[in-house]
Amino acid sequence: MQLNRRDFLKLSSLLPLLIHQLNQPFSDETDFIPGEEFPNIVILVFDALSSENMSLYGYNRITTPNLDRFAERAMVYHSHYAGGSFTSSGTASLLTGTYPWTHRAIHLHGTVDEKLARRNLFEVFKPLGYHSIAYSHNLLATSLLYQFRESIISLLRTRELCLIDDQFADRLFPADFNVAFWSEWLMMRSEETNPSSLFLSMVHRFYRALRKRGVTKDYGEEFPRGIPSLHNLFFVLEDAIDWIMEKLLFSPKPYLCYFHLLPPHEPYTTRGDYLDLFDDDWAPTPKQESPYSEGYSTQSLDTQRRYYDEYLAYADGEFGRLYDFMNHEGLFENTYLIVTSDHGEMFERGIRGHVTPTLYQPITRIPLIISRPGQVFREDIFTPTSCIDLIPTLLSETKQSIPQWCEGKILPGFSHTNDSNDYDIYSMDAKSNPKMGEIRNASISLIRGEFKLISYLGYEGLSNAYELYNLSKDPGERNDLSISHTGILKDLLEIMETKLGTVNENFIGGRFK
Amino acid sequence: MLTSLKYKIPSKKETIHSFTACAFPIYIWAIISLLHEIPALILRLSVWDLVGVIAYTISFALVESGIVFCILLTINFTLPPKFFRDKFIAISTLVVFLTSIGFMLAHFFDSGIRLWGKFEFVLSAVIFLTILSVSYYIVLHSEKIPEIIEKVVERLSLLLYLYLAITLLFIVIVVIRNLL
Repeated sequence: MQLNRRDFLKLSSLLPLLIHQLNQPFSDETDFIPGEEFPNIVILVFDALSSENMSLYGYNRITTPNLDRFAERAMVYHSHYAGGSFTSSGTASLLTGTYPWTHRAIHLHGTVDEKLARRNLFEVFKPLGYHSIAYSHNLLATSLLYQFRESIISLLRTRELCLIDDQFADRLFPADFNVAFWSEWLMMRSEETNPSSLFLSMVHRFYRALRKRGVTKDYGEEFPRGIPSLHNLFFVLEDAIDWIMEKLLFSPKPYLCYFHLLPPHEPYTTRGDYLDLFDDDWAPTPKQESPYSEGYSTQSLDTQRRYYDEYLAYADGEFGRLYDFMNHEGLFENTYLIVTSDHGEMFERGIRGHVTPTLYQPITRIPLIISRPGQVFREDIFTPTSCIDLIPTLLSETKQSIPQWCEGKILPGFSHTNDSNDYDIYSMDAKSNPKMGEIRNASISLIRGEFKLISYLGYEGLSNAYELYNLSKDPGERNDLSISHTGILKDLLEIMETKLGTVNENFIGGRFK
Repeated sequence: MLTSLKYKIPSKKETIHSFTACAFPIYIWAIISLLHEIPALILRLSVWDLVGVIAYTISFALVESGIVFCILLTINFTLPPKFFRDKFIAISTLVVFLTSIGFMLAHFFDSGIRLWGKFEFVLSAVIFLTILSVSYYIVLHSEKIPEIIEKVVERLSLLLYLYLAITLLFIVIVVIRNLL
């Protein structure tokens, strides 16, 4: 066979593709079995999405019609819980398969204990030849992803999908992002205390205001309540969804994607077509004010809840676009799509949002919807589960062994053993506890069977306060049983104290044994 | 023209003293803010990371002082000598200190200022500029006040050497953190 110049040029154009394909499965010295095709894994996190506000889980307003649609071909977990009550701790639990007392990302902008930085979702799938892709709108989650950067093949910076970005720490100090970012925060925009830069922080603020004005001019009509934002990063969810579609279609397979999208996290700035969607005068029956109440009136909370619901409907609408795209492209045939959240949001008991030591259901109960490759039916699971169960489940699905450091277990519905109700589910908030210290100042919730214990440790004036609820009879946590059911309280307290004792025992002098 | 330009370049002593005037409020503010934050930072950061945050903040204070000093130099080169150059240390100290007080007040009452409308902004700007102009006029036409200011700044300049030494150490830390 003779090759003329034209044929040679045609063939040589395929050379990069050939090299890429040859490199792909053999890029790591791993136990990857050539020829075995692993499914793609896509984890979609909607920040601050509480199950309590989703029509999928029985909420009064139809906030999630598209997730409802998706659920018809997925496993729906009805009692799924976040590991923490805000982004850093909740996301770290999801990504490391460990509780906050282990990973230690327990403060705002917190990162995991440096020694554990290689124990994460991306790292465990690396040996299988997965092409990992990660993105987060939320800078708190970005700090964690940055810490795991050596385990991630493609980590997109937050600003890449934002309309405005005024950060400079990561541009100037990419090798020391987390500390430089934290310093920038203190210098330029510290909100509760004064910024440590006397002059330039004001100039920076003026600059931000000018840029915000520009974006508002461009997108203000589309988003009458303000442009979606957090930490002065402005974005529209549509851009992120378009980018995700592109990634799902063109990334090398198998891929492992972690997409952390900000809506419905506050500020609740929905798109114009969802505005006043729930202006229906509906409001849940008010609950007793919490000792940690922030003083919000019932009326103000109802208004905020409505704004949240409308923002959630916008996020759901964009999810619907992604769902239809995946369906159209036949991506569900070989993809796990997992929709979940890092923590919830609450509008009751005088508290708005999630920056609170309380661990009521709206804060900790989050969605988990998993669609297996080719799944066409819906399965509802009511056994309590935790976000730390995701890593073991995915490892089991890809026939890998579960590392010992992982604290979760295989999710019911995936596990071949009988589902048991005596599995303890914990959530924790420990913002006042030293990062590398024994857990002494924290609120911890424990769910065992139908009961939920919330324990407040080391809080001034409320030290060793407890709340006990029967979630199957009282899902709204209205009747505190800690006085009437002392036997159950004692049992659960003993379980929690034993667990905490073990955790603290393993932790000596600021280091794990 | 060249003579006039040469005259406008401050001497070594004037440079050090006016740079001191710039650095003093900026460093003091940064250090107080840091001290305020340290209890919270200790909770969440390792010792090395805490040192890192302090290093970035203090190094940035030097950059900020440099920028403010450059602005003063620009004003000096722009205005006729009798309005600035002749009393370089005293006037630059006055401008920096009064502006610092203004910015400190703005930071302290930040939450209220966020709710201000145009009228409040214009009014506060007018009040600030009036105070600055009156003080400037007094310093410009007084013989004694500039001397007092210069003496104060001279004493403060000892602090500048301390700031610079500490900042140098912190810059080294920033470099190490980014190389590791």
